[in-house]
Amino acid sequence: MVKVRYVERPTLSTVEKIFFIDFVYGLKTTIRNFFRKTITTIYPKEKLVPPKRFRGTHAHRAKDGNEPPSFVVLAKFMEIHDYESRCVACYMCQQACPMPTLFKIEAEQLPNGKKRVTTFDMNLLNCLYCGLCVDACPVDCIIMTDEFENAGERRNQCVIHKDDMTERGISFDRRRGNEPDRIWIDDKAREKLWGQIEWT
Amino acid sequence: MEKVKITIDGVQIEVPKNYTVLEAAKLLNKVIPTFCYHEKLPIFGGCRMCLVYDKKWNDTIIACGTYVYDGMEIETMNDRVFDDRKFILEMLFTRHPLDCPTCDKAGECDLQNWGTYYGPQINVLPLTPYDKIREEEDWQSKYFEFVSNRCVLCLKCVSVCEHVVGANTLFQEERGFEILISPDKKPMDSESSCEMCGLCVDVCPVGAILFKPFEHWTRAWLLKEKVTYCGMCSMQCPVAIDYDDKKQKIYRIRSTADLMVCSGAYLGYDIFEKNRLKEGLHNNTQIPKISAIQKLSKVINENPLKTALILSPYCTNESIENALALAEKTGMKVSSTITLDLIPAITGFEEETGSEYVLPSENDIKRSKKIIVIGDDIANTQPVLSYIFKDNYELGQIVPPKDKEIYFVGKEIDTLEKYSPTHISAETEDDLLEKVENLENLIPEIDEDTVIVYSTSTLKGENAYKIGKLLGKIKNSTKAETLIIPVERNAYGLMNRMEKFYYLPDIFEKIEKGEIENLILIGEDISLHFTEDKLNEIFLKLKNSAVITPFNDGLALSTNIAIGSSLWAEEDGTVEGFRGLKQIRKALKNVEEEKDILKKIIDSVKLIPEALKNEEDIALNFYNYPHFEKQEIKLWDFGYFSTRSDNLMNWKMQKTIKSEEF
Ligand code: SF4
Ligand code: SF4
Ligand code: SF4
Ligand code: SF4
Ligand code: SF4
Ligand code: FES
Repeated sequence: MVKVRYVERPTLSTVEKIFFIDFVYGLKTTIRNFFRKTITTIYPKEKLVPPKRFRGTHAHRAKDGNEPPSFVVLAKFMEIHDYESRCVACYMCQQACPMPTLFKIEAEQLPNGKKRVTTFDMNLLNCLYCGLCVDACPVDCIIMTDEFENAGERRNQCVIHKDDMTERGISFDRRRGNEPDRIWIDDKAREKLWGQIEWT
Repeated sequence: MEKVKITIDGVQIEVPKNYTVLEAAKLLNKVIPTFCYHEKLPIFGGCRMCLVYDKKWNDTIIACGTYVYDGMEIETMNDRVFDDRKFILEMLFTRHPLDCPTCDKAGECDLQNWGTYYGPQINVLPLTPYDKIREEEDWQSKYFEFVSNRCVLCLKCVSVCEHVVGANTLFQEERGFEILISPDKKPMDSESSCEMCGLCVDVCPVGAILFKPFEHWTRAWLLKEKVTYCGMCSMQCPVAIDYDDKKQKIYRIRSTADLMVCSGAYLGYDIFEKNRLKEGLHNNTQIPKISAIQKLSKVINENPLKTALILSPYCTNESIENALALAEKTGMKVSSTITLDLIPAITGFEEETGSEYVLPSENDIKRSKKIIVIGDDIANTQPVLSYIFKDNYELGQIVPPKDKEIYFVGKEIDTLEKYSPTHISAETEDDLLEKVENLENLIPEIDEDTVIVYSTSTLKGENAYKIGKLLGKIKNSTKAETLIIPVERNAYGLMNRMEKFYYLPDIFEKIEKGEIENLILIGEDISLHFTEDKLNEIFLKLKNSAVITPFNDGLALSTNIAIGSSLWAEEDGTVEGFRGLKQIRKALKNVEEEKDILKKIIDSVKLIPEALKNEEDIALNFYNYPHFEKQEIKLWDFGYFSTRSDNLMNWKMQKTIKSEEF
């Protein structure tokens, strides 16, 4: 049985009934914003640069000398040349992913006994953009970039691969590597718009 | 055994006096972390991971090495225990590189698991990953690799190699924190006494010893596991097959906690891929399997009474039953290679003892005082059988009696040399028969605590029959246990099922006389028992020949019709071997099973009425046939399968090149 709860309507005074006071009151916000500067952008003519921490299309950082110390211990088992993806195929990103089947990672053992990553594909159609893979990576390889235009006409355009991921990673680091790690670059402007957070 | 009462976490329990705290706690399903303890190995007590709290002593003690006493009170977990265990882990982690992302053990690593459970650890020494890198020890092996940084110094590898395998290959160099594990001689594959059983890899709680062919290809948690019995020989060792279900590919085959595996399964996991016959062949051109089956049925239908069927002792019981039903329906003549070696020996034995032959069990061998190996070196033919010849451990305790006497009667000792047996040399087959006849004079005190082991690969035909009789005589006079063991995994299953059969050389004679025109082979066993010339001659005489085989590079090339079939990890069924009737389960599912192929053939052949079958009395007479060929079985030889394994053949090459240098 569904129980229905009835809410009593507020009783309005005669003046309120005649002059639509509440209605006018509600229009106040509309009218005020009508004369303010627009804050939306006219995509695709106008494009915002998202913050550095934006969770956009995934990329691989390359072996470029900025690896965390953990990579040094692993590197001796790996065959990775400079400016190639520093992925060690540990499958941690896949392990952390809520939708693990979107990854296809494969590695092989070379005749010299070292490990080489042969495949790293991600089917972004299934991705939740939760960023758990980024947190899981022990060598700071997989990252999410500020690129967000990853729609395509065909499904295969939504699958990213090791090589293009590495390229994206290199370009991301070049463009934004030195930028301070903040939510928005122009925090002040947004503060004006939305006000400040007040902690108790 | 006297029992004592102890209390574990407030629960009272009565256990035998020789139990350790760990074993008692296991009865209550308490989880106690261990590194250096294994049921099948002697207690070492070196890692201190298994600390528990003894209330009476008011201290933490090691559970794996402390025996229970009456009134003992144990707490398996409290703050003190937690902190102590955590401290042990912190110490282990000071030198551990934490390279889990590239470590093959990740996902099944005890250090990783317990480290997470008791973590996070604080680095007790100011060491960075760079400082942790320490001296490497190169084993110079194609199969095993040692990563010194990851070793937690539990010495289980040394222990398993000494106490289970008996190969004594591994030993420790240096002491304390500097311990390096090293094979006795390098390069390991060709020079050392290693038997390539891989047990050191399996017992290592961390990723310090790695199996190179497995390294880097996949990760442990991506694989499915199927526990079954190895099908490479008659020992039926319990093994775990790790395979990728999607790719239908086996990545490794390893031992279970029973620690029973040899190179056959460990290195031979790669037979499932190479040179497989998946469809059919007709005069060496590929045809679909179904048309190969039709062609074969046509051959049978045309002249069933002039057709012979040779069964393989590697088939499962279900396969054998189907094959026998096929023979029954059509009146084909049946034979198998076990009519050359196993059946004569058992017939001789049973004739002498007057009763049915019963295999001694694993426990009979473990508890025996004396072991006499006759003929082929059993450590080559059934490697794992030799593991139980030495001192055995159960629940960390030695199984009495200690120090078995081992004798070897035969040509040359190879792998069995590891136990330094007393060698009674018998160069030729006649010599061997003579020595066995005089066995009671040569070896003192053969009694019921003795086990006589004879591998049926040793002798064929009349000699096999003779040795069976001699063994029967010894059994009668000494009551010694006798283990007559075939190399093929289901030879006993086949023997128990085959009722009306021909001695295999009789079939060959009939072919030569033209009485048999068609020969259908299941498996490629005959190529191991006869000279190649003779086989070629036979194939030339035949009108039609067919083979049901998993491989495309053997008899499939010399026969008219070949039908691809399954290997041991690809079929469900039962087999009878050393451990009795066992159910085997398949890991891979993409291959049609042999029994189903046979079923299809049964369905497509004509029923021959009883009256048409020319029933003849088969007189079994095991004579010596001049074209027998004796296969020298070494550690890397497992039926007709092992030649298809790259791992086994590379190892063989390394070993033989080495011996030719001398
Ligand atoms: S977690 Fe990082 S290193 Fe591991 S597979 Fe994913 S991207 Fe590669
Ligand atoms: S041995 Fe275990 S803890 Fe050490 S690197 Fe390998 S998986 Fe990690
Ligand atoms: S290699 Fe493995 S089994 Fe051997 S001592 Fe080290 S940790 Fe133990
Ligand atoms: S593979 Fe077997 S025989 Fe070889 S070293 Fe390891 S335990 Fe010993
Ligand atoms: S002894 Fe035989 S059954 Fe056991 S692992 Fe070796 S080949 Fe397999
Ligand atoms: S397991 Fe008890 S000391 Fe190692």
